[in-house]
Amino acid sequence: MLRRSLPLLLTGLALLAACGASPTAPPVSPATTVATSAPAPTAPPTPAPATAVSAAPVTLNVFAPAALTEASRQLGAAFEAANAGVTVAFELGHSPTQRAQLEQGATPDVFISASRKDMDLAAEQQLVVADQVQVFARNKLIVILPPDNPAQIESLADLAKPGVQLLIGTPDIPIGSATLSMLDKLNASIAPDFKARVLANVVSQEVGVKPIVSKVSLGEADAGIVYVSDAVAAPTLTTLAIPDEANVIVVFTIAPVTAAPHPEEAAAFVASVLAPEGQAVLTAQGFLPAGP
Amino acid sequence: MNRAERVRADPGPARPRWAWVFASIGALLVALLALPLAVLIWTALSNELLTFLRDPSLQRAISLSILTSSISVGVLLLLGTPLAYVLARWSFRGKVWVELIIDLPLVLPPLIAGIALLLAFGRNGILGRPLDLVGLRLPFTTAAVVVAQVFVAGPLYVRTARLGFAAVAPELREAAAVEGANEVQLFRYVMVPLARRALGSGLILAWARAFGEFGATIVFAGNMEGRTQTIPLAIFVGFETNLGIALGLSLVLLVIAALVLLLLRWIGRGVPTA
Repeated sequence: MLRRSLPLLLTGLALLAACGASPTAPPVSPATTVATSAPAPTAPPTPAPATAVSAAPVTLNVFAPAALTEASRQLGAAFEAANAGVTVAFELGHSPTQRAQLEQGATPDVFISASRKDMDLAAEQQLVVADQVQVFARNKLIVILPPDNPAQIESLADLAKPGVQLLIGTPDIPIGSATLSMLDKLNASIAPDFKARVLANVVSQEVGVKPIVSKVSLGEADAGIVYVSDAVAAPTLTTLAIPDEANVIVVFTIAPVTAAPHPEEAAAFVASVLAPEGQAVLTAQGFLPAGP
Repeated sequence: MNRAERVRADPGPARPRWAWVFASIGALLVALLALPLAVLIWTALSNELLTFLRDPSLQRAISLSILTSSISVGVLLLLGTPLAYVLARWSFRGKVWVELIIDLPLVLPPLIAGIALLLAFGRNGILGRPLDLVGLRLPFTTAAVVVAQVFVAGPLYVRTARLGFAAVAPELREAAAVEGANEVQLFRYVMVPLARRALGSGLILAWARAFGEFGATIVFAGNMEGRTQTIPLAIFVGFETNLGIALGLSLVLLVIAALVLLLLRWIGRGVPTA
């Protein structure tokens, strides 16, 4: 029990402390049962940069949501491999917090947001280059259960069973608000009091996606609602798919920061994420391609 | 100005010229501590504070914080006082280890305390499993908030109380023994009354620490309004969406902390500090 959960806890700890990505590269997890019928990524309009844009050593700072933890390591490593002398440093945190940090004068090179609202606000204030904001990935919700499924949840309707201990995100962060809209949609298809009964089972509104994954993996809660990509990153968990008609698509956006210390590299990094190779990394992690 | 004049202008003859060197360097640190807090207070006050303070979720956080830190201090009084007494009075094998365990939470990041508590008292934890069998579940409950607070605030009380007991002159203990007092009477009528200021200081320090507890609480008890969302958690959540609420609560926390420290100075006159 302890041995199994320790690495997980350490990851959770690192994330809670809003630290950067850990140096250990994770194995590329193959598409598991949670991977959706993702079509091959469509080629984006921008071509990938082939060579280094600068000779001097450069550290490219990227603000990214914690949902990108696993993908960011691979995206960063790929960009570093293609651009000698460039180190990509991800700062993983909450999009609203990072937007507030931009507002207060933080100058990373690239801003990646899990919420459209925060990116739009940042663009409005000219904190990011407004006409270069692009959708690079989409994500949807899934229910995660501990491997032994102690509450015997077999369907979405079971989430409303009395006594189920459920973890969701606090409504103030993207995962939390997406969860609430999904429950609204399910209300229509399952039962009119479904949402109220599910919310009565919520034991904690966690302040991030990764704490939900950690606590469900430990078996402290019977279920949690997270992004599909988080479930792919934690293959020991049991999952319960949410039908597309009730699901909520969360859009991830990327943009170079207006005051970026390394604008050329920032543009190149954005392009590399949108390139087929970058999109392949994201779909392998359970993200949906940038889409229509 | 010549030297003689400067000496005369000095308010206290005991303050040598060099004191200013130390004082100006020290002032830098005071400024570092004071400036951010001053800006916080100023911003909070200019931010429709009253509207936010009337917010019901904010009031729930305040009352939950007061309730849980008071219960935590009660638990510490019951369990920590005998422990402090033992440590002050007697030597025993392994005492060093007991002291180390008590002091660890002082330097441990509270986040680690939260994870450790989850592993021990969680549903699949070593102690949590038997508790679960009798229908008791700690994580995500108000009780879990109290456990987290006792964990992080415990050392402050035990250390201060212990110093208070140790400061009682041995002659007084001997005199009581000569008069025929047994160990319980000695504790009840001599040691506790003489150490009461230290005990009080310890309780206040522990209360303040429990009141500000964040890391262990959010990991072990989670974040649920009215149940586990104490003021620091509400500030953290509020910081992401509603800075006004976060600022209002920060001000509440700051004012209470300052009052508690003033109370501590008043009660703790002449108490050895931990």
